[in-house]
Amino acid sequence: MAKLTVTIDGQAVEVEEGTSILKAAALVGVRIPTLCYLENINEVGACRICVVEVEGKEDFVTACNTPVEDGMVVRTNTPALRAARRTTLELILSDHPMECLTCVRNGNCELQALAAQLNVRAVRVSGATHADLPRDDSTSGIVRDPRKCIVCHRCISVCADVQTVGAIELQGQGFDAFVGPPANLKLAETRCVQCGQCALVCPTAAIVEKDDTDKVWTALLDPTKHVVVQTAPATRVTIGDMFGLPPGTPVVGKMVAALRRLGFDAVFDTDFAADLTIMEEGSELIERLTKGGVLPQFTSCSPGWIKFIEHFYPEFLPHVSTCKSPQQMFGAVAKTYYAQRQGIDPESIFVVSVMPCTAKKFEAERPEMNAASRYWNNPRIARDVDVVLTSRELGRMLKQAGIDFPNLPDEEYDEPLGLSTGAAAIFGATGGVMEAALRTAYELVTGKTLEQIDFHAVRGLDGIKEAVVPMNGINVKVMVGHGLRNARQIMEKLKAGELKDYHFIEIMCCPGGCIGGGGQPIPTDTAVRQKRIDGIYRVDAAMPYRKSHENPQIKKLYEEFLEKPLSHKSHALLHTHYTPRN
Amino acid sequence: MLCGSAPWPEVAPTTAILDAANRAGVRIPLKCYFLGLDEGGAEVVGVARVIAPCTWPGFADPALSRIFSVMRDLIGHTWPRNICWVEITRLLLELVQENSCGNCVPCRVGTRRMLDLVDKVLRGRTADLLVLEQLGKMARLVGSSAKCDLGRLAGKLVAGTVLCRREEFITHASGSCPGTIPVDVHLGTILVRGRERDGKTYSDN
Ligand code: SF4
Ligand code: SF4
Ligand code: SF4
Ligand code: SF4
Ligand SMILES: [Zn+2]
Repeated sequence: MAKLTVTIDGQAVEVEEGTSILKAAALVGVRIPTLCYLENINEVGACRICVVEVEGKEDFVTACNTPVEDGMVVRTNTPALRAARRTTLELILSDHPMECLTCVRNGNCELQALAAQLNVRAVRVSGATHADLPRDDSTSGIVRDPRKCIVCHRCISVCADVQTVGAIELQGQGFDAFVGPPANLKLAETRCVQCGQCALVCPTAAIVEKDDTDKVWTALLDPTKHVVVQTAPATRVTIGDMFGLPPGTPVVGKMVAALRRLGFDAVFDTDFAADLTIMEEGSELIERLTKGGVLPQFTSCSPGWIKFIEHFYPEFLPHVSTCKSPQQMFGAVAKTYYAQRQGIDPESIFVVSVMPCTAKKFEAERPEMNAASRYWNNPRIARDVDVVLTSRELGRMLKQAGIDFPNLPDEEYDEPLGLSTGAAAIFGATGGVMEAALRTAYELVTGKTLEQIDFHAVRGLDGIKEAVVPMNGINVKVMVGHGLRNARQIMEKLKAGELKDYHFIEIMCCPGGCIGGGGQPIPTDTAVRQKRIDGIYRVDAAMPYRKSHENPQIKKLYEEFLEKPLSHKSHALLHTHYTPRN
Repeated sequence: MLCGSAPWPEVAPTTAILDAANRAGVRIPLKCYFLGLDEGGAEVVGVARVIAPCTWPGFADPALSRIFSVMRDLIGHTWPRNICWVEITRLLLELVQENSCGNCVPCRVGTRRMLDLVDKVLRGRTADLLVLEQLGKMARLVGSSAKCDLGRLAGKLVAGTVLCRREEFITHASGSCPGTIPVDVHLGTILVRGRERDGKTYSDN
């Protein structure tokens, strides 16, 4: 790559060809303000906030998407630029409801932050607004408030390019343009998978998770309810973000302490159910391998991925494991085994999940997720999981309750649904389910102890990863993809018949896996994702048990209740079916 | 920069416009629209070597192409003195709004706010000259910051008009129209809002 020299605000810097002015400026300590820019995802120059002056150019240019040229002389902080940026921001604000005080993004809003940064003290323009655009709360997972949309295009880019769903687009022209599903459809009427990646990147409150915190406060106050909570694998390295801890800090003990202080009757771990998932899904794989079932088998724990394949590749649903996700396995076990064992009326058990994910809200509401009701033959037990909270919602509840999270002591989960292994923890990162499955499948198939239990080939942020693991003469070929663009690529290969010799494929809907889920603390970018991944493997390494089948509590569950993996009872409670949605 | 960044040159009526501008040290960008006087003392609109509208992105509406082409064709043509530049400005902004792809803030929101300001002027609802300042500033912002040529050109055209036809805008702002749109330069889409012109009444079309 050729090296170019540019001068930015009087400082010369040498950069590689193709570097944007924005990045070149950062090298000399100049942070050009941006708004719509999202590295590698949205570099469309829509907001015009990052304008700079380039010597010899009549007009301003946008720093985010203009590559430097050799000898370029750039100025980033002239009176004209300060005026232009401020006026542009005022134009945006002239069509924005100034509701910061009652807004869910108050204090964590990029628009708000930019107004502060640019020292905007008045909005001197006014006129027509989009105040009459209706709120869309048609989906279970996310709510759109187009009044607060600044048409930055991030959600459009994420949905179309990262997730290849394309549920939301720019509609209309001129001032009337707005972002939403085509043809005035509600989001629930599109193929939106409710992954929430749009909410994760939205700079404002125009797309947010559906807030279910009130339902939880109400349940916690209800003396007739036995309210239990489960925490997803990925939450143990993300909740701290909202309390100023560095991204990726393992906070599992504090999270347990915090939930107990909120008043939950029992604090359990989705990781327990993740170990259970491995038992069931691993056994299913072995069965498919030995009895000639449909291969490759695909993982099923990511509800965004499930909705995606139901919409876009329904013909391949037989490839998907029939295992429910850990969240739903937990709900079913809590309202059957746990109820029975503790002698608690299953009707009174209220299951709350803390999830990295907006699609989990949709999953919990799927009509078939009422195994306990069917098990007890009691229609008054409605859902296996009653309320799903995203990480962000839990953060808000803890703040509201005045819980000093960083200074909490570390506490332990309750028994019996609180014990888990390192294999379950890594469910939170891309490749983790695969690695956990391999640790167990290897030992179940070969009867030998797996010496090297770290499968580095399936870890990390590469879009598609592969490994071959010899087990009793079979070379088990596995593949891992995260983010639906990679999922689509894998599905196209499957369609073309190129994956015939593969056995097991893990797909996570969200980039990086659940640590990058659509319900996680904002900001969640690539660097943050990597730190959370590092954190999760640290959690794994520190666990006393690191293979799901070694979890003594899981053994007990099978002994006392389920009998064995894929038993009749397991099938009724832990397995499910899918709905083609083409 | 636009003619807006330097005082409009004092020129003899016979001076060719570009020459005069050059002599005055004003660099007239190729896409800058400006006004001057032609040899006979009549006003001309010049759009120096501008416009191939069909080659720009976002030009869906033939009406917009038409107005730009007409402006181009008018180089060297004479227009009567009494043309209404406020109305032309309004028309231009309306067409830009209809054709704006809506991607960038200056064009999507800026030209709409400019349109509102011009409306205020047209309706004679404001004697406040700040409106004119605002319009000029906003036009310059849009002219230098919009993402594509549609927004940029619109901004520059309006900035130039506001600067060069200031008197006309001021008269409008206080409630009267000094000019009319000449019948022979009817642009096909110009909205003549039922106002009396040359003793005749034109209705909206
Ligand atoms: S989205 Fe941001 S700027 Fe808008 S009301 Fe909410 S906090 Fe305020
Ligand atoms: S939730 Fe996911 S699929 Fe739905 S609109 Fe947002 S990014 Fe697209
Ligand atoms: S909804 Fe949010 S992310 Fe999407 S364009 Fe609007 S402000 Fe940007
Ligand atoms: S100036 Fe901006 S909004 Fe207008 S048409 Fe060009 S890109 Fe689209
Ligand atoms: Zn007039």
